[in-house]
Amino acid sequence: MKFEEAIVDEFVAEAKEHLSSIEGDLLSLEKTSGKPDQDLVNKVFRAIHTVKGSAGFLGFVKLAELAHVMETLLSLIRSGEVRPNSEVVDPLLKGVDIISTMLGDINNSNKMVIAGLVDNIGAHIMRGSPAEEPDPDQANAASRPHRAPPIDDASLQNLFNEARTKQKAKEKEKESPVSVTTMEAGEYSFPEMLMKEVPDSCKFIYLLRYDLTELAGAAGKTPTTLMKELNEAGKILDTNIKFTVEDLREGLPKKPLFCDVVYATSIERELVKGVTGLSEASIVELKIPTESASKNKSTTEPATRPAGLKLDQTLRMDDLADMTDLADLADLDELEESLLQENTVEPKMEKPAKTRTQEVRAPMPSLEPPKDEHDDPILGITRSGKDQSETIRLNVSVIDKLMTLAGELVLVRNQQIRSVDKSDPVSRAIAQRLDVVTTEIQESIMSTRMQPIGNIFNKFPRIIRELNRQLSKKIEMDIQGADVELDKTILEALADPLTHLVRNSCDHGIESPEERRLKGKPETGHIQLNAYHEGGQINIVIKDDGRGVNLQKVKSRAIAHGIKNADELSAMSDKEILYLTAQAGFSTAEKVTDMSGRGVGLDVVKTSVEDLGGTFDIDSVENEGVTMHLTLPLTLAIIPCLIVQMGDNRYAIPQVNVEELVCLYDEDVDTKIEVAGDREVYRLRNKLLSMVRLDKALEDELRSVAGSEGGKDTSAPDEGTQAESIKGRSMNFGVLKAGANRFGLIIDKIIGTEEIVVKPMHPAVKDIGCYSGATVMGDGKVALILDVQGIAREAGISTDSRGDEGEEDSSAETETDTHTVLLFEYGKDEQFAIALSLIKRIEHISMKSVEKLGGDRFITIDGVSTQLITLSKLMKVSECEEEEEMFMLLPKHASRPVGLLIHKLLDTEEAPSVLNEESYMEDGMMGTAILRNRLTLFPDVYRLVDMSENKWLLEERLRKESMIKGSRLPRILSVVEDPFMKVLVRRYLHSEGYEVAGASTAEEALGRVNDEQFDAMVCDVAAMGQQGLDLIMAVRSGDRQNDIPAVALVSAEKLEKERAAAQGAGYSRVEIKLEKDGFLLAMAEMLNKALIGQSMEENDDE
Amino acid sequence: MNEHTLVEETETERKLQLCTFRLNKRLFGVDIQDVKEINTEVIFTQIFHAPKEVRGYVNIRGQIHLVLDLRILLGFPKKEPNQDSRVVIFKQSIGEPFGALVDKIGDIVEVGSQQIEEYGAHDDAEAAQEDRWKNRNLVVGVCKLEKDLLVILNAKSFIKTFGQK
Repeated sequence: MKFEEAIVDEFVAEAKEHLSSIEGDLLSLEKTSGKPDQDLVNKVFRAIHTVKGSAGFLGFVKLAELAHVMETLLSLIRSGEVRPNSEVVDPLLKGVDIISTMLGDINNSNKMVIAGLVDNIGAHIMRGSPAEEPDPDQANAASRPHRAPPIDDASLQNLFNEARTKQKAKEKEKESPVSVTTMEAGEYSFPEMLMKEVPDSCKFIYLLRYDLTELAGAAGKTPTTLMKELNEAGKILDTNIKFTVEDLREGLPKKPLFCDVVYATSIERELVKGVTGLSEASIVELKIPTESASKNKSTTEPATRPAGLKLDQTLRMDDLADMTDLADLADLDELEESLLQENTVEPKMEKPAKTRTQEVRAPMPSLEPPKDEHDDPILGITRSGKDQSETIRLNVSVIDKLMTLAGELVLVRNQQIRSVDKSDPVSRAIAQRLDVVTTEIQESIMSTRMQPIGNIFNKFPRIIRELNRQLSKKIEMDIQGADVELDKTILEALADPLTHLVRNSCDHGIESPEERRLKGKPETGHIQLNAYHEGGQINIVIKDDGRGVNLQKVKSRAIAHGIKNADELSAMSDKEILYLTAQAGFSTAEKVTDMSGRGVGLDVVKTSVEDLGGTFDIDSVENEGVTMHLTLPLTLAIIPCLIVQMGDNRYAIPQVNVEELVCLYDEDVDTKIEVAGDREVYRLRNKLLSMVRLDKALEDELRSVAGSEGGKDTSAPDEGTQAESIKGRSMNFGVLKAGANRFGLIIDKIIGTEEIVVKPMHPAVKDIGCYSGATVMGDGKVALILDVQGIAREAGISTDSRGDEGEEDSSAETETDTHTVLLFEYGKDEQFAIALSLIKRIEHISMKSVEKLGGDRFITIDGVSTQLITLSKLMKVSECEEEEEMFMLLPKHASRPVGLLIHKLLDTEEAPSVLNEESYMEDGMMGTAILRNRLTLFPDVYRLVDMSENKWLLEERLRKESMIKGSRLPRILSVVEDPFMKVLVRRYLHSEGYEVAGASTAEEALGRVNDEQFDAMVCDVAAMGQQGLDLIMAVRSGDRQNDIPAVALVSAEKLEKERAAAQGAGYSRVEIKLEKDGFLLAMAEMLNKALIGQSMEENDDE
Repeated sequence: MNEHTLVEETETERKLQLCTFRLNKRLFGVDIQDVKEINTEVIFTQIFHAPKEVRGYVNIRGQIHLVLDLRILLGFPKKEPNQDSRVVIFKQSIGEPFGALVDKIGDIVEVGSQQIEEYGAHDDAEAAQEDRWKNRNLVVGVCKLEKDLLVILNAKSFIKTFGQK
């Protein structure tokens, strides 16, 4: 029946609420076990009490039983007879756990086995020391005066049975269906508490036993009527019904149903019969105890009491429509409530408070108080009048619907804003108001789903406690920011990851007390849990002061699991090694414990966090601790996005993934995008950024699938864009980040930012990794939301952050004394090195493809025949045992297609800019250096290129050059700051036979120009920048040699800009540095002209 | 559309109401009970990397619908939509909001269940297609009308048959 379901659901929800704070309260009690906070005890007691009552009422007997014993124990704590120390609190906590489990599957709760725990708690109850103070709790009407086991209905039944037998022995009474004997009054002791309820006028207290079935049948009386009648003549103090199997909701059973009533009245015994309508046998007079001698520790309330309620409720069910019944029940609740409260204050025999005299229609004082709430089970809504602030409990689906509608409203509002006639002030005003109201509605509704993060945080103290016990450690947790609010879905998804992180810290991070002592740390480890708002996101920080992450262990594990090899590891930064721990399958735990060590933890945390649109960061200092930092978005459904355009389509990129936007102009569009391997990269503030073209990322695959779709030729990444006019072009790209990946996404146009409503992808296309959803734009068209992580995957951006972070700087551009070189081997004896800046790329070649021509070897690379330079042929180095697979190094700016044959690539290394030229030199070498403890030879690639020219080419070149060289040996002033470049330029010039004088600074150069005679000048403008320009301007404006031919060396990337600047400043020629041939040719031409000019002058003179 | 009950129990046969449309000049139809509406919107947002049968997304009254190209689904060559093209939107019971792009919409046709026959290929060109259609449960049957042969399709199978080659 629907009604019942609603009631059960209501009960479960309520019970859960009651239970939610109990854990924390019990823990607090444990902390102050010496002096337990009475209010707290009461709070816990009441919660359990309520749960017990409702549970029994609804037939969840196991739950009721458990709550029952817990309540008993709690009342002992309340009375002070038992202290809430760990031993005691433990089973209580267990009880709470089991109750929670039961609530989770309430309909099967009766099947649970709880005997063990019940006995455990029972033992504690037994152990509670007998106190002199009376038991302040409501108890059974019948209880033994001595230390007796908890009274329950069974005992009561026993009493009656005993009494009955006695009676039978004593008197011959007329058989009544319920024959009960009078007991000797002295055998009953009377619970103190009930005493208070006895009105002064009532001198007698009777125990009456009714057979309700009989009553209903024969006398036609309902229990209600009975109660009413009784109450007219006295006061019902307590009732007790015993029955077992039947579910009373089906109606009254046919068998005799005994109800015991404790009744106070002033009526004497003889008259009581008449009043109650009972036979003599069913009435027992109870002695009112004069001394507070009840040693009764039976704090159990009759477990069947709720059954009595049930009975009543059964009747109530016929009067469904009459809601006032429930309201009256509520009154009863207050009654009961106040009863309890009174009892806990002072066990005095006071007059009952005025609340007790409230009219009750359903006069069962044993109703359980659902606290300050008025229940309205039909509507499923509970109104709580507890605090001043009203709360409403709602079904989540209602809120979800509101959210969806709010989203729709946002979309319509967006559309309306675009279509409103801007010139009409009235429409504008309306649109404006609509805008404001919509935003507020959206924000308010979003806030309905916000819940404080404390909801998860408050689980941790318990977990810490358990872990402390299990691991024999001392750990304390400090929680801050528990009232930071999060969207419910995020909160729920966050619970497990956070728990895992905390467990990790406890298990692996914080050391045992002994270890900590040895390390000089305080014995108690601390975990700090902090939540705060920052940057539009929620930040959660978990910091422990444990042993930190052992990087060595991580490394060895990585190798053992085959995740990384030793070489890769040595090149990784500490942070990157830390991140390895967040990879799937990784764990440095020696053994798998219950909590962690399975190696599925951190990566799951990281993925979960990232799936929610957040980030996960980990930081560790050995022996000091680990800090884990999570960021999460505030909400999921509506996110701010960057709208971009690609072709005819618009796409939305979530702002959280956008780091910055870059726009390139004019020639930068071509030159700035460099090629590394098969990827395009851009150098952004000295960091390399992989570039992805959105159109390619999206269209590439489509092309291959559809086949005949046409499209751009994308066989290899464009070396540059199409050859259009250089000027007036611009290119936009956004620097995107997702997880650890950073890359640049090239798009046509950036439209703007917008807050959009995220609609999930259609199930049929959900698995395409590139999109995380769709949205309707202001103009009604659909736009897809890009999944940045997915795009990165599609484009093949490596997940290894090393690639992005690695700095590749050409040695010439730094002013340090070292530059990066590539170490390699050719023959078996020597180690070689070449500056990275001179390398275009390294190719893997198969010796099978090598062709022999005229004594030289060639191989086809990129469609071009490339000559192989064999080191052993040109220099005195050991021969190489050539293998099938070898490498070929292609130098930058080579005059001809050549490649250096290499056997084995070793590594990159930092090498000094200045090479040793004394130890060992020969033609074709630049010098030597000691790298990695070996003498390393630095081949002069360009010289080698020249050396491997065949005769004809050589002669041709020489012929050309001799034509332009003059007779005298020209003297060149080389103005270069960087030592490496200096050497290089010097070599170039020397190789032509020029005489070279060097200046390291512009001032020095200027000085020398004024002092000495030079035929030409070359300056490294690329590195020296303005100084180089100033220099030439100074020279040109000076009176010494102001017409000296001067070459400016500029960088390839900034060619156009620097060329213009250099020429503007006065340089005669501009050449790209490192490009030897061009440079030398220019030099020669320049000198030739000068010489011709000179000789003409001379001729003139002559 | 009128409010007739779709299936009228007569003594001998049930009647089916079909929403018909043309694809590649052939006449097809779907159970009208599966159809929610017929829309004239033909501007779609392309979804790259989606299976080729997916035309894209379209926004209809604030809800985003997936549009299938029925021509491609049935094996006909792709064609650009024109002013006769329509999108047949199906009810939620058939699947998540989606629609099918057709060349031209036809009339509502009522057929008796007796008139529906098994599908058999017309000619060789169709033989290849026939297997495809049969295998994927796309075709429920055929029905001879006055002027045309009406092929009755099973809307529920549309979504399921994606991406299969």
